[in-house]
Amino acid sequence: MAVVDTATARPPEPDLERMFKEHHTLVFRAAYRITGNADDAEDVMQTVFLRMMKREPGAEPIANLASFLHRSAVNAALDLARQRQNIRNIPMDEMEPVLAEPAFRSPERAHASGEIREWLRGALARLNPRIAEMFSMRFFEGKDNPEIARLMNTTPGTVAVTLSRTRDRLQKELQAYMGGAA
Amino acid sequence: MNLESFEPMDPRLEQAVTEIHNDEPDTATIEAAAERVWARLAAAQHEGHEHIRGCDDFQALIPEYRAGRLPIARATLLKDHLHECVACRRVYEGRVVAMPVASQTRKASNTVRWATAAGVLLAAGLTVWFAMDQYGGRSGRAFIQAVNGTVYEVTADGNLRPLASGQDLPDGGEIRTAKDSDAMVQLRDGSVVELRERSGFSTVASANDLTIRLNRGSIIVQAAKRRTGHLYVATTDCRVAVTGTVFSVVSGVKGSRVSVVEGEVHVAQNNQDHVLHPGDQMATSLAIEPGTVRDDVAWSRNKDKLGQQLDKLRVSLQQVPLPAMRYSSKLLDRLPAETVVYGSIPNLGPYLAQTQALFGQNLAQSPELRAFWSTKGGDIDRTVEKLRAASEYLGDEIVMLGFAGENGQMDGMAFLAETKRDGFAEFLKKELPGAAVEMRPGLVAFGPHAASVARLASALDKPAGGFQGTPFYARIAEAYRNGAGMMLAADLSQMHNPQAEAQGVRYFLAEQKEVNKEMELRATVGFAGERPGIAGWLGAPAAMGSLDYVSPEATLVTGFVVKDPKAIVDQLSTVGGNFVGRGEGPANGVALTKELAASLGGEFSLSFDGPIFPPSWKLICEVYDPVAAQAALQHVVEAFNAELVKNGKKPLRTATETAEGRTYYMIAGADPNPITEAHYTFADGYLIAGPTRALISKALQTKMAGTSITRSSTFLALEPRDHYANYSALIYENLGKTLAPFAGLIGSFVPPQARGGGRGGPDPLAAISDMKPLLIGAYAEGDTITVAANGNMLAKGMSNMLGGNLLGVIGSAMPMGQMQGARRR
Repeated sequence: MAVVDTATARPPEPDLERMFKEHHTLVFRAAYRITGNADDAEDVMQTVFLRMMKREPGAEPIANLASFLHRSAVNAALDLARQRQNIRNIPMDEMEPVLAEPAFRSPERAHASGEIREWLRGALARLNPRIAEMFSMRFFEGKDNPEIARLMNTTPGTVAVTLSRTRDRLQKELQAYMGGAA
Repeated sequence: MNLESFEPMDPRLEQAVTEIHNDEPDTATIEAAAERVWARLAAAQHEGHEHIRGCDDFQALIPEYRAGRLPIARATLLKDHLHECVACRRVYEGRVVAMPVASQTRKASNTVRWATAAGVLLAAGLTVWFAMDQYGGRSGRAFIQAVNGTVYEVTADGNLRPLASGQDLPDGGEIRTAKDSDAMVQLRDGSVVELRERSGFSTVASANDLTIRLNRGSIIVQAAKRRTGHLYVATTDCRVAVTGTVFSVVSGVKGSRVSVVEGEVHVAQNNQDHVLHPGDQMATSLAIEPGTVRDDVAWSRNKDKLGQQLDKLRVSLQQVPLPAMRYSSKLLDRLPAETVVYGSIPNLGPYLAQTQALFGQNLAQSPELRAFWSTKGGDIDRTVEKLRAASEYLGDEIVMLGFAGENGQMDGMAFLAETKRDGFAEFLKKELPGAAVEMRPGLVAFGPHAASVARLASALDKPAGGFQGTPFYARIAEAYRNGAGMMLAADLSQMHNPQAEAQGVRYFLAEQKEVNKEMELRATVGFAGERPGIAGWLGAPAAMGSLDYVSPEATLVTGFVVKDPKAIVDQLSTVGGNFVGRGEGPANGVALTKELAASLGGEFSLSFDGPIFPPSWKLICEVYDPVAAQAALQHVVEAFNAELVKNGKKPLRTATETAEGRTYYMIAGADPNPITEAHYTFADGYLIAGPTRALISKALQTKMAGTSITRSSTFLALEPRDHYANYSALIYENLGKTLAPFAGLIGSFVPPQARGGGRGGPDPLAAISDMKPLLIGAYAEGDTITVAANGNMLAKGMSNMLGGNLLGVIGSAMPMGQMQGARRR
């Protein structure tokens, strides 16, 4: 990969501080929703702004900084979650649910919403990154399909179909995870 | 959230999605995180101007990052780079060997190679044997086999979790040893890894291979035989591939070093593969000098297996009870009046028999001990056997006697004992043909000097030997009443010893006995009339409040109760004269001394209680009148200064300062120098003096907190047990703790062959490091002074006694000769 020559890079981004002040809350919250804890969200925040700091001087200007940072945060958070799980990604067309956890948990535990939240975060980390990003933006961040399509350079129809298939798959996985408790 | 365009979602999934969507961290958490992140970003921005030009530069930072020494800004940059660069992340994870600057592989010469190979054979053999013997082969389970000290897991969240012996190892986690700790770890494939102190590794399993990722420190690996796959050891700059070998790997800041003890290993570095054989060594950096394989495995716990066996034997032997104490003696009343030396030992037959049996068991179980004993044991076995055989003829006690001869010289030694069965004379003549033996009904007198034996025998022919009624007899009888173990007494007044006569010493009595499985040592010196000289300064045992100001960390402590404070002042005057380097006293010194002495109580202590430099001396004096004492000290200083000025020299500096309601005084040499400063204050009837005010404050805090040395477990464990509640004087040392680092430092500059005088003698530096705490108490009463300590000097004392080495016995009986320390309780 290309590595920035930090010795010869342009002077420190003059707008970095302003950018950080204006958007750090947005980045942290997006990261927090996906990682589920403040320490990881802090790591994500650092990663996102460190990458902004290291942008090439001639890089294309960012049209919508808030959206860009928001998406960066989602992706960095998903990256982190994937690293923590250290698992392979499941391609989009692989429809069979994959058990991430042993089945037959007790109904009491399975019904605990906190546990399902953690399971959902783990399931997202196992998804194809592009699908996981799409799902997170739609359901965690509340963006609508046209905006997601614009951000991800695709069509709203593709977004809708992808999200529908993903939802179905997650529901199957959840049922398998519940081990009959469903 | 608008979900209308979808089919209804599973309610549980919808609930989870909604909860995550609404999961909002509080503002304070966000802002605190933002503050930290911005600080790191700002630092990284600044750091970014320094040269990190690409992956090579980032990879060069990895060792420092692993060691936790990378500045936070650079660590931030590296961490981020590892997130986004797969190539560097693989290097960091040890899956790919980095390509550092080309370095020359070094190998030891053939001679050194084979010499070191031979040298480590024992350690290697012991390692293999020990591991196989103790832990068996592979179990499919990774666990901690043994821990000496502390070993812990570095968890994913960066916390440390202590691990215990027998505990299973977590997958993927780093195992790390603390300082002064080591551990034996068995991996899933049956390989055994021994970790040195401050070492850490983790393991990664893939397919049939297992990789030990050595993050820091040193390990010795005994690789299990494998049918498939390899065991790898990866450091930051090399990778070692092995099957069924024993080798060590050291990974440090400068690079790595691999030493092979057994088998063959392949070391990959800089895209080159090096094959090493037993005795071979390879360093990955020119900055690492080749050492010896022996040195690289010298820290192994198995190297010391012999030492451990000997320690085990020593502990076992200590469990063998000595004969019970004797409270009277049938032999004492039969001695002649001219007896001037009296030694008494219990019949050690049963003790020797048990010891012999126990020793035999240990030899049978330990090939190392057998080998050691076959070369070092010499004639000890035969000697012990003779003693044991002789003891079967004799009663419970054997006494050794010396008689006053002409011109005050002592005649040869003779021995006296009761007999349990006939045949001792024949036995002795057979074993010691030159020995004289005289048998009497129920008694036997024997020894190397026929005249002495005859003299003893003639006394035995009388109903009473004439010894009864002498003051010397009375002292010995008193010792019996308190319980006797081993005893040696000498009537010095009858031996015309000029030194003893000059000191007014009349008799000496040393005892060693076992009480509650602990050895006690006690020596008493009796004087003719008043105790003279320094012995006369000591007062009767009394409470020592001055010790309340001494902390448990003190390395040397002395405390005294004196009859006459003037004696202290005289001593201090001398020290004061030397202190200013003049040795001159004021003309009215005697008057000033009396003035100062009048204000002092009868107790003081001098200790070293803190850092070695500047010397943390601490003087505590009991003071009955602080105002008068300060006035007297001021007069002393003024008188000294007048004298110094008269001689054209600079006067002492003095100062007074009040802090927190307490007045501190300072007396110092003319030129500022921390060594020549003395600070002091008065509190609770004591003068507390030291080189700094901080030390005095600490002393006051120690007193206030009630955490003085007299409350410390180390001190309490060393106190001799007797009927005295107080001491007249005491000396406590814990110098080993302080001096060991210095001895180690000095030792690192002294070649091993140069220690012990180059003759293979004892290493004085090692002896310093091994010094154990010691407490000697003294009790002054009337015309006697008794010193007491806990210790086990039976072997040495018995050896001297049986050899007739009186001075040796006295020397071993005096606790000051036992600075190696007493057995801990």
